[in-house]
Amino acid sequence: MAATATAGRAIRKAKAQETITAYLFVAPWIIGFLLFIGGPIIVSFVLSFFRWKIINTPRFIGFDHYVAMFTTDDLFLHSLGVTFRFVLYSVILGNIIALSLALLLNQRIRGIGVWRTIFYLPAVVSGVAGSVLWAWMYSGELGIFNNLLIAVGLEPQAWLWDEQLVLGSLVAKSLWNIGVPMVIYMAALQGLPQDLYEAADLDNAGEWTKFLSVTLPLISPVIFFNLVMGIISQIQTFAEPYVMTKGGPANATLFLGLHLYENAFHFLKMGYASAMAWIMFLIIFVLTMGQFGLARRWVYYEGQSS
Amino acid sequence: MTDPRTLSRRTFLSLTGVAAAGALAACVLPETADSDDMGAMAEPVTIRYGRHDPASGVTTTLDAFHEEHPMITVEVEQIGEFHAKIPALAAAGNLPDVVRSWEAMALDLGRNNQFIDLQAHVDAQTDFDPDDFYPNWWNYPVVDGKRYGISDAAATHMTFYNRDLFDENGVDYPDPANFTWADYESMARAISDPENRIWGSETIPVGWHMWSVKLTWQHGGSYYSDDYLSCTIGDTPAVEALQYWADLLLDGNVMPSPSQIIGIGGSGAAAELLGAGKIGMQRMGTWITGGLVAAPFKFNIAPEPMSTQQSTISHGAFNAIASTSEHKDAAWTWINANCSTQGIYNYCSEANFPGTRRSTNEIDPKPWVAPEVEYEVDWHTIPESLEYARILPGPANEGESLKLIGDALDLIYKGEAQAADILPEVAEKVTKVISDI
Repeated sequence: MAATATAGRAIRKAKAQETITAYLFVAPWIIGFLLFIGGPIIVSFVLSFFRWKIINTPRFIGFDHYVAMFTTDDLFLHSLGVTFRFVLYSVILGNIIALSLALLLNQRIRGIGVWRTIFYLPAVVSGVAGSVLWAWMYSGELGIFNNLLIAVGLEPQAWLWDEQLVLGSLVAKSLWNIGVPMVIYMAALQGLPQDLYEAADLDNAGEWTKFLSVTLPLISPVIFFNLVMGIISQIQTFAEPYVMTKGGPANATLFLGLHLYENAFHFLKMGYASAMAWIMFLIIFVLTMGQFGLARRWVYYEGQSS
Repeated sequence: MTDPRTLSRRTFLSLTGVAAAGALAACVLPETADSDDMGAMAEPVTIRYGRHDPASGVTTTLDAFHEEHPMITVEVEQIGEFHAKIPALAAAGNLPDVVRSWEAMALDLGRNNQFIDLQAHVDAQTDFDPDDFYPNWWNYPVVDGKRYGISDAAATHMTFYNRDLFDENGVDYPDPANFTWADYESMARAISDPENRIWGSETIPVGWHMWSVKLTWQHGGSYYSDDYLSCTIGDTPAVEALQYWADLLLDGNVMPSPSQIIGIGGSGAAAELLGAGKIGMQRMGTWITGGLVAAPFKFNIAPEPMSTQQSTISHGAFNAIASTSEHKDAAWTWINANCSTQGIYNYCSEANFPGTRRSTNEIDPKPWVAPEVEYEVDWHTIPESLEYARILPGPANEGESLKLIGDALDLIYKGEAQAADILPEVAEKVTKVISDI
């Protein structure tokens, strides 16, 4: 009995030591999270109820910022509209193209690795560097797009200065960064069970039918994942409009993130910008929850009863 | 009996005490000076000097300063994203001891007690001559009687013109003594040849909203009242001025219109058109001189054209001491050296600007003259412009007010709105923003 109790104490001691060791290992991350992420999150929430110009003393104003956003700040609702339009086009087009590329690159042909690398490469370029590059490509005189237009006898376009064109130009740039969803789609495609395709062959199903009836349902969890991640990241778009257009022309690319940044660091309205950040969080939260709600209707998980 | 000429020990000690107290009182620094700094000056101190541009411009002054003041080390910090980082540093209580601040920023940080009032230091500096400064630069950083900075260099906007294009088109050069908007327009029209992508004037840099404030000044208007508490862009002079230039912009035969500029590089490339020989005149800051030296044509300089009054815009920077500085006296010693006649000259020679001290601009070779240019240029018009130039306005909440003004200007310059229709309403909104101090 005594030996068993001693052994039990030793095991508990060892487990406790193991737990402490584990916490020590993760302590840097926890401390970093509390200091640099958790702390600022709480502070930004508190600040959203204060009027604070960074260089003066904060003054409590209750919900005034939240009210002002929807009543007096015309640009807030405008920026929401710009952001939603961009998210709609870039996420839908991005996923269609990423999936199409994944299907094309999911072939066993010579040199496929090179193509996969080429298509993935933009994903490792930083948002700022990519934006500078695309700003050059859209340049009026030196840009490759206008030179191509001129070469075929067409008029050059003001890709980044025409209100009608500029949002489309930024959507096109966003499609350049589809390397990550493309790789995720490729991974999903490579994990699909072949027996279902063999069964479809036996039923004389064509390629299109197999894609719609086998491939799409099987990769629907991955589509769902890419949609959720795409919407979350695109709502927070900042680098492209900041570097390429500064929100212009005529606020045509004033995204929510850029409007927030301008209020915080150009107008020094830190409390108002904090309130905007929380509204942005709420929008993302509601959209994500909404997607999870809708997912039950179209996302298929193997082994799950329909 | 005690000899009246002799003092008792007690009396001596009392008198000595009174005298010492009096001497100490006489030596007390101005109210803003930090008494702790007295001790600090006796020991080596290091102060931080924050500015947006590289340290190379002040290297000569720094070397001389360190030799003369071996107890003070000045470390220059080049601060990128100046408009965002300076307020952030202020919020963190970590501003450099001396900040070379931009115009509106200097006033805003001063209003919010981030900079100290330098007037007491100026008054205590017996060899400091305020009258040596051009009045606009000396008076600008003063709010409610408190002085929040000392200026150094000035960059005024002038009219730079391509003499060869004028000669080719048989157009008389601008007369520096009397150059009007009407002259400018007629010269530009005579030079313009849109089919061959040649224009008499540069396009208006739409998006650079402060550029247009000079147009309102030249017509007797302004964006703001003199005390910066109300917006006057909706008043008749400002409305007329902005509409006049918007009409010229959209005309297409004076300057590249927004649609014409597309094929020649967009508005971002507009600044390069003069150097490329594609435009006759450009109203821009004197910093473009360096780019024109190697241009394949002869250039010259004239004042900005005027409507009802001579005016132009000037950029400037103001050396201020952070209220959090623990070495305010050392910081002032550095400002006094950096903003001395020679200190300003050293910087201006590096950057090709005139100084904001008259004595600086009397030193040869003149800092704004490009020695490589062998033909005659009316260089004298540059320092002359300091007599009438106005510094960028500095209302409170300038960024937000400029956004409102800029959005309206964008519409006017695109021809989508008339100045008279939208500027009065914008003025009301801006007034609310800038008066919310």
